[in-house]
Amino acid sequence: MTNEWGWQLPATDALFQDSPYEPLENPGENIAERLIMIAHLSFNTDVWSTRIDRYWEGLVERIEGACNTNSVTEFWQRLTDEMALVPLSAGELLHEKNLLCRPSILSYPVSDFEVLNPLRSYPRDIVDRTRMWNQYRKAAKVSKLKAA
Amino acid sequence: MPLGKTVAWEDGHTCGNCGEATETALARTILSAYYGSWEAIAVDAEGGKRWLCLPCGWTLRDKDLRRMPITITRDGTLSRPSFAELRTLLSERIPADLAVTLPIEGRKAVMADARWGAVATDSGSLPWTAAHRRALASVVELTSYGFTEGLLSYDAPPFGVLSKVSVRDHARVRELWNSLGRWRPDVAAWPTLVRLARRDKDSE
Repeated sequence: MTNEWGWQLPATDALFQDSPYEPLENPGENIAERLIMIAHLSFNTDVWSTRIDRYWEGLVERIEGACNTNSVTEFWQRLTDEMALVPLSAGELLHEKNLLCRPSILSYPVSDFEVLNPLRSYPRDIVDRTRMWNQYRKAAKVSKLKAA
Repeated sequence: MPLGKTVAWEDGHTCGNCGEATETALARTILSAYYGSWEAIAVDAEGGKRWLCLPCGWTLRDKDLRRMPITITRDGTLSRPSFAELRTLLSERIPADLAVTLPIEGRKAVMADARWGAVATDSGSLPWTAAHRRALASVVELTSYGFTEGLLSYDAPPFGVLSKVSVRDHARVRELWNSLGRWRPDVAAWPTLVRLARRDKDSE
């Protein structure tokens, strides 16, 4: 799976395979959604498992709080701190996360503002998309296990 | 007796609600001490008391008028439409010979604010414009997706309901939800729109 902008991001491209939605067509929104998917993949069980019912709402609130910057790198750092995200163990995903945090160096460059703007304006929509993706991803995993 | 109680009527005062100089009675003998809309009844400048005429006394006192939606026609016919009927009625321009009252909290006397071609609610008389009709259409469409009256005031569609809606309709739900964004801070129109989303008891 590739993306229409020619970004070399195969690991996050693959994440969209489980999403019930078409990937967002705006490059800034598309990167924002990839980052939130990665944030969810960095879910900290120790911190959130006892208050899982607050997790998604907490993610929205913390995105809103972390967006008050003009740098995606800074945003990611704040989100990591606030959500107590665990370090990514998958090397490829970690590499892509680092690229996504510097969207202006991608092969099709996107400004930090274009990525942060949707996160500021409609974080809940992006989190809800991620939540749906997660639901479908889990269902796909279960059906794969059953088939095996 | 429309008031359901005996009160002493006097001449020489003005009704504090409609301003008519007619036979009136002391408002406190008509209304309960717990009545919630005293501020809407003007105080008589001479005696410092509130007076009401019989029609106003009835509209302010009758509890049913404060609790149920009512339509009134110029020939004096009162009817109690269901919420479904009200949605249909308000999906179009309100005829000039019809007034609609829609109490929200059940505490305010809204009948006194009834105007021809408008909706009277707790916040007063609301002219029912094309923009209100479009907003109502959005509310009705959202309820068809399963979003109930209590959920419509959320900033975004609650995920619990959204996740049960077909994925191909999610963009439409978000579009409708966002289109109602400007209505949510409107303290007069929004409670009215939300109340119109209410399901009738017999349809549940």
